[in-house]
Amino acid sequence: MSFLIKSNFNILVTGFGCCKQEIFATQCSLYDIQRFGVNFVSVPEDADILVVQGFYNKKGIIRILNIYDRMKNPKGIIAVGSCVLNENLFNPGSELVSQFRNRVIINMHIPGCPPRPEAFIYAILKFLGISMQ
Amino acid sequence: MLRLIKNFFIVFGNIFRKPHTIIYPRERIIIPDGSRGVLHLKVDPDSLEIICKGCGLCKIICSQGCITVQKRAEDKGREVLDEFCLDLSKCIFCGNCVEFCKMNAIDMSYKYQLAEFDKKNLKLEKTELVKPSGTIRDFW
Amino acid sequence: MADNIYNKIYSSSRTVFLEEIGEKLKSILKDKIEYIRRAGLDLLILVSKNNLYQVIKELKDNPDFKVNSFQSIAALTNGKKIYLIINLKSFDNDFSVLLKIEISQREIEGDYREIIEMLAKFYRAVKFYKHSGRLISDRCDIKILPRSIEGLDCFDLDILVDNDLIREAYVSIEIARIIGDDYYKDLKLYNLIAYISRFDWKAGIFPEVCLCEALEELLQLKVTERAQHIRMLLCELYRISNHIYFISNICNILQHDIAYNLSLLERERVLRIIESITGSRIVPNFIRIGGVKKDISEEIMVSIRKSLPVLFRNIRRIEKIMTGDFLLIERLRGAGIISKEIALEYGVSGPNLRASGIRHDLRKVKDSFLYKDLSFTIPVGKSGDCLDRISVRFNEMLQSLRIINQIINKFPEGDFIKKINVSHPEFKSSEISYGIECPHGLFKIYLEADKNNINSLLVKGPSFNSLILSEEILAGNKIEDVDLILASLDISPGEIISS
Repeated sequence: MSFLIKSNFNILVTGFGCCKQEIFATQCSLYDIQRFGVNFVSVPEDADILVVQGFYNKKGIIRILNIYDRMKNPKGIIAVGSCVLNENLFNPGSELVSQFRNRVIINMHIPGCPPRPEAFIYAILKFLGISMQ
Repeated sequence: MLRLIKNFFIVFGNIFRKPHTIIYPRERIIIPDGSRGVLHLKVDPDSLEIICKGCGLCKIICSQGCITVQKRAEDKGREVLDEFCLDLSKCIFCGNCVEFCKMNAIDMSYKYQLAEFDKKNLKLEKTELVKPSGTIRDFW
Repeated sequence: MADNIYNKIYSSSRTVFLEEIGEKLKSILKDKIEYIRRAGLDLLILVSKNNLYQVIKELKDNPDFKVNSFQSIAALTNGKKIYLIINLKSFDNDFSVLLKIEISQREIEGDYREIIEMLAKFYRAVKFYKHSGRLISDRCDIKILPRSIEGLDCFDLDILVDNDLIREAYVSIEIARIIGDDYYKDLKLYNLIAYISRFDWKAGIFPEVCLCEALEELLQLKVTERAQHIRMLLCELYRISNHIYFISNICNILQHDIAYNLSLLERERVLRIIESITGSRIVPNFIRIGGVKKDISEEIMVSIRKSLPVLFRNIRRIEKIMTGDFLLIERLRGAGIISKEIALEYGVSGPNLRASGIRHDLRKVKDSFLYKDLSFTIPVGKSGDCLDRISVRFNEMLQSLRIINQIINKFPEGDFIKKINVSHPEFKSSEISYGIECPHGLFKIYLEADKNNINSLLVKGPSFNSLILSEEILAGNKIEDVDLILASLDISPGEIISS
């Protein structure tokens, strides 16, 4: 992932779920994720990284794959929260999420339900290759 | 004119104010007591043994099935914990396992720095769970 | 006779009132209904499908009942039988009715279209259910897909326009239908409590409180005073955090960066207090049946006491910044006006209802919590536009701070939980509907239980009514105000997935 180091880094957050407010809380001046050159955008063509979080049904999965196809290379996916990493919390039988995981390559996994804003920044820094110490 | 002087004092005060932002590599947020993080297997401070005997109650309690426990019988009929595995990708950090544990053998650490490139690394074995997470407030 | 007098003196006036209405209904609709009984807040009426038209006609037209507001409709399964629950409310007489109808599996697959067609004759709000499922995507002018702003991310919007004015708007919640049929069937009670706060993730404590209080009423358990105070404290803290997040959302849409950053900072401050009490920021898993999980220590009390004046000062500052900006005010004034009648008809509750000028708050009406000992006012708006909705929420935050101040000043001693056997509870009655005033409005739970376990559970959040209403109020506004109006309704996506 060396191409992303020290570059402007655009993130598109999709889906709806508890993790969303924690991801957007990193914009606030207490955490201030913009220090690392990270921007939140709303157009797939602008985005480098797709953040997948929250609940999806069949239609939602199709939309996400659509968004992912529209993104320009190089691109990556960050999966946030146990709804994406494991299974839909309110629909345990459905295999949609696991099918989705098989279709695309997920570059980063953030566990938690929901993860704290700090965990999200940690993941971004790990992506950017900034050392933790 | 009065307004100008007032504004001047506001600006002057803000020059010497500490910034709200926590600059990550240098500063760390101290998270409050009792916040729920990754499971931690307690160790008896005297004998340096794991308190957990592997009864498997937490495995039954957990709604997501993220804990796997196995016990093994040693000599003299004593039961020892053989295997304790936590799958972080399934855990929802509800804390019910800690609440229901009869031996009081597990608690929740403050460890939140969790993100992995590979999903396999999210499965934590016994040896990793025993480790106290650096200082008890390993967090930033 | 003596019984009647006893009730009138010692019980709350509302209980007697509901029972009186129930008896009146029974005498009028004798042969058309199967039974009528009280279930928590509401009157539960079992009706067969053939008599439904006459029953609703009687309820709507009779001046003694005047059931003029449609709240919700949802299907629920109990064992092998499938029921349809229709919730109707009368604001004039202040009572609500649950109509329970048994229907077949085939009708569920067809979205019970027959019953909805019939309901649409009486209530305008039902037309949302009529068109949902088959949207008009092919002939609409503008199609707005979910955006990344919280609250506007769980539905599609189809708009027909006249130049730059919106003529008609249609909302579709197809992508929000993610809930499985019986996710709660295999869960034990403690796991259900851990799960349920995801139904309202902007203010996670309220579903938990609602569920636990409903179960306590089924078990006929009384909570200690200290536990109630802790619950009230958390409720108010979460109310502040939700409202301030709402303000930050509005500022984000209006690109007002100063207020946006300041409000998110205050949210962090409130969430920090919440985390030190419960152990989690968003999903507390803190309320237990019979009390709360753990006690509040003296240290936390001190920290709350310290941060209250800071919060008060900063919230006032944000309010001053926003109301002092004439550009902002001009943008907000007159956008998305909700009139009193429409708000009542669509069953909107909470701050959105209060902004249009109706003084209705469940905290003052119901007496299960100890809110009656505390002094606070209910802020009311005048015209019901976006500006009123924002100022009502600002005032509510200040009132919540006032409540918290009173709570921590007279925090009673005693136990914080009554230990009961959670794994094998014994429920006294079979069905209950329970409501609580959450930051978006009236959060409702309807559950049916047999002796030992919960058979069926319905969660109904207030945001769904706001979403239905948005179709009505978007018409006549400009296109650039769409995001603003929708965000000012404070829609919580978690409540939309539940219905």
